[in-house]
Amino acid sequence: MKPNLVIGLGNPLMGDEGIGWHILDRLAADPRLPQDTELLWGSTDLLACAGQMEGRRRIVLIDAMLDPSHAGSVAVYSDRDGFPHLDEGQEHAHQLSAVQALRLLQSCSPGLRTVPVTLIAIAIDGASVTMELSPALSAGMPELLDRILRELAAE
Amino acid sequence: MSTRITVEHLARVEGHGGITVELDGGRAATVRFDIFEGARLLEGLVRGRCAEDISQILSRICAICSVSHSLTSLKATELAFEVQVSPQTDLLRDLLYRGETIQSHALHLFCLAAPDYLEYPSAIALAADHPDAVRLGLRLKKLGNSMQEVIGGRAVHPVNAVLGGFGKLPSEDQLIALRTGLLQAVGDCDAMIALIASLPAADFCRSDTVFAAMRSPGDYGYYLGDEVVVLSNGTRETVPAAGYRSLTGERAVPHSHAKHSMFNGKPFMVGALARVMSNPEGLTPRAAEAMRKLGLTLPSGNPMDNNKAQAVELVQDVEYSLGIVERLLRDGLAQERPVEVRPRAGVGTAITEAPRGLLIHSYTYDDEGKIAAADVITPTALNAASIENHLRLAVDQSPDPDVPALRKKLEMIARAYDPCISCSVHLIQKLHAT
Repeated sequence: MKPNLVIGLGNPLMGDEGIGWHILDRLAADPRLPQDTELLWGSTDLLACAGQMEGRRRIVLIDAMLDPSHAGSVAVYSDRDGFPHLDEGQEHAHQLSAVQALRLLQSCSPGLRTVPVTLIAIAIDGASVTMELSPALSAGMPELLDRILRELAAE
Repeated sequence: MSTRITVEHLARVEGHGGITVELDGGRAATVRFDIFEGARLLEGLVRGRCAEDISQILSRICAICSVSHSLTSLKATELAFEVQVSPQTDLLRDLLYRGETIQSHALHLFCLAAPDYLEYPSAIALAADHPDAVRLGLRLKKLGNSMQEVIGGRAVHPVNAVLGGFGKLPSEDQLIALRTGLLQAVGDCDAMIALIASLPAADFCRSDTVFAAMRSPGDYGYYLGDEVVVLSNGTRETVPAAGYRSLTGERAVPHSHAKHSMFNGKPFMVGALARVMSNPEGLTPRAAEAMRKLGLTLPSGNPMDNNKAQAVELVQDVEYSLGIVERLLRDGLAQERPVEVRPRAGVGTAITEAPRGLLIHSYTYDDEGKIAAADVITPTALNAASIENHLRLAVDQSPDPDVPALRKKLEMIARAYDPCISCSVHLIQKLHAT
């Protein structure tokens, strides 16, 4: 079985929307990252990551979630629970949302159906054209990393 | 009595777009292809930056078209600095570009357009009933992504393509694996053509469409070229890349954040159909045969034929890419380093053919070799006026005033253009509490 895979989603040109990308940058340099964990900067196209997702022990997706009232908070969703609190009806990003892309890949690839998937969603209050994170998210980065590393360590 | 048709969020296109049509006596009084996406102003991100940063930043405009933006950016900078890359670099960039086109067209045809024809609300619903069809599309997409990974170093946002050449070259083993994948894809393309040919006909409007595409100096290509061919009513004009403003004639419109482009006062269409129209003799025999099987006849006045043209290009690109890989394996790769680049003041305007059509990057560098001004014009911006034109014609030529049916036709026409409004934002949205 292949190592755990962490996929950072988001566009780093769009400020806080690219939080998944920024977190992977931090994780890559963090000695606490669990061994046997691989990182993949997935940008906004989860389908393009399909070739690297099969046969993993576990997949963790990190993405931004538009939720201005809880900006900076972290929500963890498990595929086993069916991502019950997320809107699966949206269809943009030139294709599908991360959840929809995952569903599609699972429906067509039996090997993916048995891989546990966790979605770590970081609430943000909006996206704008900049390569920097907002001061609030930047300040909260150490806490975010702690939270994500705890999740990665949990089986 | 007037009727309004509003598609507030056009599904299965990238970004936030919509359609508004006001009918008056069965004719279109108002037609708008709305782009709600906020103004991008991405050019501002690169102002004052060094040349080597530009392609990496601008490739992130779009995850699906990251190769297009990256390579067009490199081409513009190399033109500004008068850098001549090696023939091997041109060949590898060509192959990288074809990988992107394969993955993009496969995604559009199977996951975004096919559900329309087969009356499914989404690719996921389609996969439940037709898993083999969706698997076929995902296999082709995966092949395109593998090509980007082998040549570009990543499936999304390539890192190997750098100013002057390639930072890292593919290994022989990687090329052999790619050849195996492409050989399998030849069979997949036959199945793909059979499937697309079996879809119900879609013919919602006819027009004397104006087409614009890059003139490819060799065969049917997406990367090399420095002139745009404009086809209009049997005439053929060329516009040099450096004179792109005379082609685009951009003007702001109040309902859209994307500017509209007109050539000699007429909207024009870019994309797969424009490429096939401008260069049918460049198609391989297999691609020409696919065109016949799909019933795609030229000249085409039906914008829905853009889907068929994408299918033809899939056949073309798989076959052509196989030829490139076999050539690289036969001749071997020279272990060359990127050509030295000396930043300086200069202007470079590059055009290429992204999967959805003509892409323009134009840069002005200052004396220190930093970006003083940048202009990026995407295919969807170029197509916006043409989309509106075809929506209007579909309303006016529709014999059936049934609003739900008309609404679906309008959505299908817009989606046939494969619009890419913005890959920049893909936020998860929480369900509204009910």
